[in-house]
Amino acid sequence: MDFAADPAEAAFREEIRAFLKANLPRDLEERGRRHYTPTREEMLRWQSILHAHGYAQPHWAVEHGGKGWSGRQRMIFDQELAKAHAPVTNVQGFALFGPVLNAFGTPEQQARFREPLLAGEVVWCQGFSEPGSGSDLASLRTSAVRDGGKWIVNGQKIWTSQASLADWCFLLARTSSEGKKQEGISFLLVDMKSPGISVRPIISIDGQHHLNETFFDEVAVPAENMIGEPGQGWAIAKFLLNNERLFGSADMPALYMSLERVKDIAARSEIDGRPLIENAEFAARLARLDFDIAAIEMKMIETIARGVMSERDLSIVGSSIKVRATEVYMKLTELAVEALGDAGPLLFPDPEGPAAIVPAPGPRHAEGVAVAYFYSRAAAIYGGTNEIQRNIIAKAKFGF
Amino acid sequence: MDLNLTDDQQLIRESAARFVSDAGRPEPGHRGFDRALWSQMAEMGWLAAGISEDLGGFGGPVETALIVEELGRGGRAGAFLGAGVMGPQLLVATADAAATEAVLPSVIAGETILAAAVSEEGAAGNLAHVAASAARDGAAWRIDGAKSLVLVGDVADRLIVSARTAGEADGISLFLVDSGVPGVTVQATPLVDGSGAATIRLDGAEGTLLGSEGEGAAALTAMAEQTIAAIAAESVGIMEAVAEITAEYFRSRKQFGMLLGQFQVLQHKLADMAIDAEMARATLLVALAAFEQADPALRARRFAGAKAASGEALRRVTEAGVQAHGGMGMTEEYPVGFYLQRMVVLDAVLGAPAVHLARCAASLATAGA
Repeated sequence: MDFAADPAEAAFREEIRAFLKANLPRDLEERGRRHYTPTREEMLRWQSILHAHGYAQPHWAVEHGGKGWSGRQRMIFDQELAKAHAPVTNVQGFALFGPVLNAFGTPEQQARFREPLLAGEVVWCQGFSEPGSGSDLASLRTSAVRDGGKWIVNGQKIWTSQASLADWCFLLARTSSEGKKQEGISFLLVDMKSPGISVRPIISIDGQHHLNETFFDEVAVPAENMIGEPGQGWAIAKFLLNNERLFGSADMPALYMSLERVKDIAARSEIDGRPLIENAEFAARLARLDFDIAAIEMKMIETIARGVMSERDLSIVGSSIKVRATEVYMKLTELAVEALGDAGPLLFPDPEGPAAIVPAPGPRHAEGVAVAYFYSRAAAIYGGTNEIQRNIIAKAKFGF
Repeated sequence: MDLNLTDDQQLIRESAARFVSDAGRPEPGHRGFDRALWSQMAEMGWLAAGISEDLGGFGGPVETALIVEELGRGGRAGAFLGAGVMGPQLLVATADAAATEAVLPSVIAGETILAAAVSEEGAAGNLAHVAASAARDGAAWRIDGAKSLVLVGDVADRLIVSARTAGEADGISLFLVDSGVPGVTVQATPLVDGSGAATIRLDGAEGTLLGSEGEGAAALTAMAEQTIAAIAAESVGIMEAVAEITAEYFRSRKQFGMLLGQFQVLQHKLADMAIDAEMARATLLVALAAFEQADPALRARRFAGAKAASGEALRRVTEAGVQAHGGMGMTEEYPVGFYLQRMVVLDAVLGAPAVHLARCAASLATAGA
């Protein structure tokens, strides 16, 4: 073990900062600074800029269009982007679908789907959960029946984030009801412009529209749009979910930005005539989270350093990080609202949106804080609820 | 940063794990200082593992952590924290070349037990809370005061004592004191986990100044850093052991016609222990990385955070372990209770988690201003 800082890291960080300074559009930065969810146009515009400079997904292997960066470089890159308030790009496309495409896609599929994703031309959404299949995902009933060169998809998906913005959907569908329920599931790529697809918005408790119900009525999907073989969908989904738990849940930039935000609010807010940050009880709660974040980051570094892991170890580590990181994130958003005092419950509609309130109902630093609190509840639910993660740990680690 | 163990480090871990599995967990009533076992540890080189090469050792905090984690897992870390970490590390931290050269070799050889007498009633983890005083007496110094929770103080041959030689802020000095000299009264205070400690009274006891007068505070901080890393390591071993013991119990005990492991509420408690153990290892790594941290405020915040986080997790896991065993958890002979007893000791050494969390909080407030 050697904990000395790598001098190359500082130079690398400077390189990223210089890139951001020169290339992050001011309007995107301003929206990010005020914590509004990027629009489709904003996401794609930023992705196309990243792509033009070779930063589309630099941690991917060179043969997959990346630069083969180390996990550590990826962490620094993500951190700098978040610090600069760059928009979050299409998570479903890059963090979830991309690794599946790289690992399981045929050369033809990779050639067809990768470049539009990297170049910021398309948005992907994920069709996993169904009204009757949440935690018990393998019970899903959306069906795909083979008809010549096509699969005919019927069913309903729910909680499909960004479905209303998406060009493509990767989904799990049942292609067989023989044997174990996991064995009849397949992984399909569906063009959202296909006839028979309808999307209905679900407004979430943060007052925003991220979630949707997506209906599939006799939707024809070309047979070449299946990733892997029929029945391989569950194994691919497990691969995807482990990635999501590790890199989606332990979203280090989001954790650091949330911590900074609480510190900022607590320095502006007062209690008994003193800055809230000087209140011993409040500061102790924040201090615990400050250390937890350092430990989660270290866990990520350690996990990356271990390299290839068995499926068992990956489950234990991925689920542990998922539970801890989401709990910490949720506590941070909770502290931020609490720290605002009277400004905590104020409703701040998107100032560019149709329901804008002019003048703003409260101080700038209160914008988006309650929204983040409400939306953060989803973190302990998506990618498998934290209760499911505990089931996974009990089974993988102890055999229960 | 490279988190992979070197071949040598891998060997240390393996030899410590083998030692623990050969020795087995000590039975109640046999958990005090064992000189034969201590000599064995010295022969294996473990007392040199945390000492740098230029001082006759071969490692540092990583090597110490590897050993202590395994000892903690096997319930064999009792004397090591006091005699293998706190005493020798405080000696090294004084940077007193002559004293180190004179004393350290026999400490490393396991012949001299050196204890750090640095806590006092009411200190609550604050090593600058020193009421003991020292005054010059010709070439020597005379020390007056009382030290509490001196780990291995009951069997120590020599002590390093903190005492005030000047005013409030900078006046702490460190002294080497033979525990047998006139004016030293050692009252053995057995601890709840069966390990040994002492309350030590000094009434004009003769001591030798270590390092420069009034500059003991930095050495105390350096010793505390080493100790916190070792406690974090021991805590990892304990948490993993408790989770394993609990899982084993869940595999064998039946109620309502089912194995306990089939009850989801218990599975989730076990999963929480496993998560705490996973993250405790990350806490240990944060502490080990903090030795390379150049920013003094952040460095102090990370060590304090490590004591707080590992302490809180250790309490959660050991308490949950006892609860998970029902009545069996209450018995002295069943091993899970021992780890709870050990937790109470580790919690108190250098101050409780709440004390350290308050330090982190104050540091955050300053950094934010």
